[in-house]
Amino acid sequence: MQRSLIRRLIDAVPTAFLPMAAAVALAAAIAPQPGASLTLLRGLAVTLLLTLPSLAVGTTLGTLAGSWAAVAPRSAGGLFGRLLAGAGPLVPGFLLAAVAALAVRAGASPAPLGWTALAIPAACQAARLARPAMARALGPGSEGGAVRMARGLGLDERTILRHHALPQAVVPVMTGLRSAVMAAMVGAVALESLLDLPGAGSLMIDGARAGSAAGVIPPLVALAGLTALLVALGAAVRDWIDPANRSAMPYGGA
Amino acid sequence: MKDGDPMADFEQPPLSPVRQPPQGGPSTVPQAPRGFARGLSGAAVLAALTLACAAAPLMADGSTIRRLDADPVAAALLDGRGSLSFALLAAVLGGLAGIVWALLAFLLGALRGDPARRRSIAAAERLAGLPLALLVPAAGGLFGGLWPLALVTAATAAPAVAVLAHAEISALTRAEFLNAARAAALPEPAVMRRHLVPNALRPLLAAATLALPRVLAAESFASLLGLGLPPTLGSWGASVGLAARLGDPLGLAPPALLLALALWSACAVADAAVAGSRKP
Repeated sequence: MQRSLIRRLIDAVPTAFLPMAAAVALAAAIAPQPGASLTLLRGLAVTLLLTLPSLAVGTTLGTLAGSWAAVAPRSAGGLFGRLLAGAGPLVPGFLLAAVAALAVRAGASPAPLGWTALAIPAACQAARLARPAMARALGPGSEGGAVRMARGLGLDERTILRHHALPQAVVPVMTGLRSAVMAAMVGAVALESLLDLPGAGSLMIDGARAGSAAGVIPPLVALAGLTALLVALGAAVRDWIDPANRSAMPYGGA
Repeated sequence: MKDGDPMADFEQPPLSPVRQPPQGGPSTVPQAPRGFARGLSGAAVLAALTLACAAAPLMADGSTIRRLDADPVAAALLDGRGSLSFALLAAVLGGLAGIVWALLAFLLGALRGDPARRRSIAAAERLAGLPLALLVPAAGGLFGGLWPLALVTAATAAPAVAVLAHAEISALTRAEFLNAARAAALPEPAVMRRHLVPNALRPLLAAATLALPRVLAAESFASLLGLGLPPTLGSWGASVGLAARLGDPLGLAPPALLLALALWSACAVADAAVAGSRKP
């Protein structure tokens, strides 16, 4: 995991860290108010704090539910996974952010609601990708070779699911994490703006409302860098989980 | 026999699947592509939403449109006219831009070699990996006006359409019927006219439908933050944002539900179109 993470983070230097550094420098150079670079750094931390836990929890729950929907489609967990997989486009992050803002106005606590609003689209995306991947891993096709071999070796069903089928369901989820990250970023911007949180998205929207390019461009570039960083983290997790990277033999023939 | 066309005297049927006559037998019974029913329901819901929004002024208690006086459902339907018409405009622009991008990449590949084609599509892939939807509220605040907003919204969808259109045309250029046509000594212009262009139209249109959900979501996101369509046009996103700020659940529910339904149906249509355009 560590080697994969370090490699992915080094790969992400030009697409993630350089844009964020450039955005901070740009804010110091052209932003009208003093201390804009520090404000942007704090804003990036707030946005990261909003998006990273939501993505982690949402993707994990969605992957488990989607996988379970392929294992036991008529169970409660399976129905939940099918519901998540089917509801993807119905629940965009910015719309859930508006609902969360409404609930906060009614007196609810903002932090759990905000994280939930951003986690749901990620869970839907993960369930949508994990369900067919799990079905393929357990099916009669070539991708089910590892599971068939494990059954032939007499491993119990729980071990087979956890060690051989689930990793194959996780890989497409982490490969398609880019869409979930972008949805979470858009949702975070809406949430920060509606709840007046001091995030980078809120800074960008304030700049746009003021019609100031100097207020818009640095947070916009920084958010693009943050998106690339989150995608790189997802790729590192995928490299760690992917059975093909941990096998000396080609996994498809197992 | 026509002059200059060595294959004209054969008058054989083209080898592409578009014009192949259906053959009998149980193995060739046409089957609906994957997601066809979902796409059909999406198209029906989208058509019903469009009709309901177009007929909304008739529900607004008189001949004049007065959004503030109307009940929340009628107001949401009135707002849908702005959202849907803007989304259609931006989707057409974005779809066209994406297709032109993909075709230009192939042209570049033909003129300057394959690396040039790959570089131009890699640029589209990198752009599609950025949160381009954030550009729409930024443009709404910085430029204002309908056309700049439409152009920026279309630009946010174009890279994804270009990547998909490029993938579809690449798959098509490797199809066996093209090799067969070339092996039958059909000249290249005839291969393009009789096989490539007719078979490319459907995948390209399918790729362009991908722009509709993207631009609808991007416009709604910008309008939700008050940086999208002008208030006179009305937008589901603007109504949702206003209701969220005012803490009005009755005002939020109808536009939010209609927007969610429109996004679901646009996604269903796009998914079904892309799945249906692929050859088994």
